[in-house]
Amino acid sequence: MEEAKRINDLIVANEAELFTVIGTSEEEIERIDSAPYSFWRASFRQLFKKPFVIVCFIMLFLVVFFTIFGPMMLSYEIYDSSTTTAERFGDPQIGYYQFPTADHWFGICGKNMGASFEGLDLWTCVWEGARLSLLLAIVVSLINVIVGLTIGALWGYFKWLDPIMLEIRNFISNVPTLLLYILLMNVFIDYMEDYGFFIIVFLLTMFSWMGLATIMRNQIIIIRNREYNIASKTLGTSSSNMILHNLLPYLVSIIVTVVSGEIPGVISAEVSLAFFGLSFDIKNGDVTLGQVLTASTQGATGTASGAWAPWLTNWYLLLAPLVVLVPLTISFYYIGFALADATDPRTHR
Amino acid sequence: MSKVINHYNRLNYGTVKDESLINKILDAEYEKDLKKDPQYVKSKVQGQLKNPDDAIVKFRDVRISFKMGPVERIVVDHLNLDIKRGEILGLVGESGSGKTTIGRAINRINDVTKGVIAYNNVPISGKIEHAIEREIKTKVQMVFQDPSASLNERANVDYIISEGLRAFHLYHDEQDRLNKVMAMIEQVGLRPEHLKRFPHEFSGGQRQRIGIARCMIMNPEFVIADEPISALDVSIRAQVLNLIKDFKERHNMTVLFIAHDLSVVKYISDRIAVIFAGKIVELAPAQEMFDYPLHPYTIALLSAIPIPDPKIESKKKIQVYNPQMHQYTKDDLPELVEIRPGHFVRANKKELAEYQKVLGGKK
Amino acid sequence: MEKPIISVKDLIVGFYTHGKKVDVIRGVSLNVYRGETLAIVGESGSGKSVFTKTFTGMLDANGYIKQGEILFDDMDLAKVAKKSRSLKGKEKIVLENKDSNGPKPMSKKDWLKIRGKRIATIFQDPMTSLNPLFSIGFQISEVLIKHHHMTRKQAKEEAIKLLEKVKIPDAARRYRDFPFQYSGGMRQRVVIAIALACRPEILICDEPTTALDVTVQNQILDLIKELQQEYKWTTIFITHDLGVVANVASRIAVMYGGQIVEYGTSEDIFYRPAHPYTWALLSSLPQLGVKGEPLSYIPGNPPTFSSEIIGDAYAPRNKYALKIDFLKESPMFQISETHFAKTWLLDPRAPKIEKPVVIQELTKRMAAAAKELKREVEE
Repeated sequence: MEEAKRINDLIVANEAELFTVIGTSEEEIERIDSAPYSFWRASFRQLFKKPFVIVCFIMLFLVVFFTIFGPMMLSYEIYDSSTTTAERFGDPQIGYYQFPTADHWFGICGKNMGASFEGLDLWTCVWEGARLSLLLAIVVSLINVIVGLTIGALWGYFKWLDPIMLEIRNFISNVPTLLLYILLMNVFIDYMEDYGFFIIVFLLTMFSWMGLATIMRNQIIIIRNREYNIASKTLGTSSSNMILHNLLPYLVSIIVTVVSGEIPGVISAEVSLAFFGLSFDIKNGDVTLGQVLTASTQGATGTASGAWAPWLTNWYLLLAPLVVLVPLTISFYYIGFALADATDPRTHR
Repeated sequence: MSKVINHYNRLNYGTVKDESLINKILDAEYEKDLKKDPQYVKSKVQGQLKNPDDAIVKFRDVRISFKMGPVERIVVDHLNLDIKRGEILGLVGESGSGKTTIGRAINRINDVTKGVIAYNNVPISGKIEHAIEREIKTKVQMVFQDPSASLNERANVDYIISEGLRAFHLYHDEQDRLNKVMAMIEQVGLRPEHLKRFPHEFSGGQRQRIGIARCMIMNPEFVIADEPISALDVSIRAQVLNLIKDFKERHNMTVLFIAHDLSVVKYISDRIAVIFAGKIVELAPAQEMFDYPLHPYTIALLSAIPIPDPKIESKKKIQVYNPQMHQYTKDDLPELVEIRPGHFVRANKKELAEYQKVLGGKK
Repeated sequence: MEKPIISVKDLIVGFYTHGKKVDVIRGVSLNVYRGETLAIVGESGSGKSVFTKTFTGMLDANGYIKQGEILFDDMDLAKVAKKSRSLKGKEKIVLENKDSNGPKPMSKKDWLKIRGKRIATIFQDPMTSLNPLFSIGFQISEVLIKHHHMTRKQAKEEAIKLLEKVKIPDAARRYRDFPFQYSGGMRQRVVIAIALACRPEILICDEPTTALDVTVQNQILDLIKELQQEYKWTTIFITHDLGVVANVASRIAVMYGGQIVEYGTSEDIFYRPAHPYTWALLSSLPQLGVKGEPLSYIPGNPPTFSSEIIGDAYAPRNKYALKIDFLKESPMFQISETHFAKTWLLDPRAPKIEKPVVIQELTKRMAAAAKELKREVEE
């Protein structure tokens, strides 16, 4: 309304010269009106348009918060070898199981979960486990991403590398991974006490970078002959700049998708490794979510009630690790997919 | 300006005085072919300029083919073309005629299967020294057809324009680079504040001007303009044309201007080559081409251009060129012949006689 | 005067982009008459494609009709079935539903009856309308079976006839070919054949020849013209190249910045252009240039609609812009019975200005072009 009035005033004020030719101005016609574009800012804005993303971030924050501060809140030792189980905890008659109480917020682990878990505080186990799992996941994903990205980018870009890498990929994809893990675990078992973390990291990174590398290779082959890349080549742009400035930025959203699946993927891979007994020893104070889950679903083997799952009688044994694992996995996946969408420039307009 | 160009200047004019290097390669190829086929006849290679030293780029008996699985598809064969130093040569043909392939063979995007492309008499096709390859990349630049596909969407204008400068480090320091980019962006009619913007924020015409800026900042000797205006609205085409012409005149460049439309090429070119199915069918100075077109394909191309006049258009007869119309026999094969000084036409002896009659009648 | 087949009144189309609502078609009124060929000419971004997309209800997901009506038979194509539509970015745009006694709003089913069947569109890229996985014969037959309830055998015969109609040589043999085996021009012919199969009343050609070679372009234009005489449909021709439409159009509307700035018969526009934008478009045609003189062009860029347009959208690029152009939009001035232009230059208060050289010498230049381009004119 005001604008209309202002213009009307202008018309009245300039009436005498309204019909004079003024022509064009160079500055005016090349101006771009829209606000400057920034890829990351636009991606960020797009990301937080989805309310569930915020929920996921809150969940993620809470999980991380408790992995750091959770165990401190109750101040139990995760495993204290200087005391016997009976000393550490109450009446052997009830098998050490105890429902969540004010002292033990997730309850207490019992007999059937294996000797090492007997009488441990589940709250401490779960958060310590989550911490190690998360740390493991971050380290493994980081290695996988760096190795996968580098090899994949070179593989896609240099044509001569392709036949060699294809053979390597064929070889790796035909190795029965699980069998290899079990065999290697036999070899490494003696070193688990000292180098457990590195061994697990090695097992989980050994081949799994290949997934990202293959995706990168396929995507780069698709875009490497696009005209803007030919243009860069005619300008003499070096291979490293081609990969860094021309190819990888176009694949951000694909990379993000893969990376976001990587962390929950590693967590669940660790869970399945633990299921087969390839894991840390809680006696050293190292526990992972996978171990807690395995203990509560499998029970201790070799005892009379070995085949019987402890959580069937004590439901909180399963619920507690799931309460951590499920939000962690879901929020990583969801944030990842939302981020992949948000980093796709087509959604920016 | 440059540390790099001083390193090696093997492609400079006068470094190699004659075609000896070219002929050496052609002779070797001929020997090889002769072994395979004893009846092989050496194809006739002929320069098109009065003074062969005038040519900056020479195509000699060039074949370019693509391997599609087991099949070899020959796109261009027996191509002989001289591009004169300092001229704008228009290369006109329909899609699939091989015009883009020819352009891209010069800066080595497409490989040459046979024959030689030479830059100032130095062969630049096939296996060459790395140093010469680097030198070509500074001296030969390209403007692409589709401005929406040929700019890196994830890089800002500053990066795009200075890409070539960075690749060869043609600047002293960051400030020097920025000054060069600023000067260039103003020359193409854009504004300094555009440097931080991304390609998709610009209109088609502006993008193409960014493409020209990135090419011209290298101060090239030879520019391949590959249909630089085909993807643009008619209303802004002339701006891009004028820009290319401006740069050419100010910096004394040589331009190979590829197009599919004769009407545009007329304004910008000194000479025009019309190409059909990988073969040059007519080559003449621009005005001559419009005044005395001889080859039926050239005539079809000319008459196809629409005239913005409803009355004239309503009476028009379209002429369709049928490549089967030529009656070429084994002992009367067509070749590119100079029918008037500087005017070449692909014809056999019979057609040549007809064309001469046409020319005689017109004069 | 005869009743128009499509009558657009004061149409405003909005788009929701970058978190903002912008009007891309800004009050267009236009009648299209049965059997005519109307050309809509404008640069990219002038809204010419968006405008015709409203006829088939094919606006992009973030576009909406804000106001106005598009009358086609007894239907109003501008009326949407639902009262409100949620757009990308959570914003709901509530569209006023016009009085209930008018034509009923368009439902999805209504659109299916119109789209392709009564109003068909040919796009610039033929592959947008062809499925690369099916043979062209199959794709034409499908349409015939669906729309005309033919048997497969009848459909095949009819499809071959149609392929012959669009001058595909050896049609019977090429029935089984796939789109990738064809050149751009041949593909466009197939698309025309598919459009023919529906026997549409209106054929919208959205830059059908822009991607084609000059020689092929001519043949396609001639084909469309020829078929139109036989099938008596109405053609709406969209292009950025004024040069192309002289051959085909009976009427021309020039669009700029989401508005029609000038419209009239083909002769009006080519021989007596009145809007400075039309002058500029004509002047920039290379056919009308003279060697030795620099070619003229329209400086600057089409409006991006990212900020509100005050006054005449073309004013910033207009060499003949008046002060008032920057303040107030001009009304549509009537020049003759058929010829209208939206420029203050036609106002009696406007100064007499010197037109560009090309426009002053139009007929002379056209004749010169014809001579130069070896146009054989049959007298």
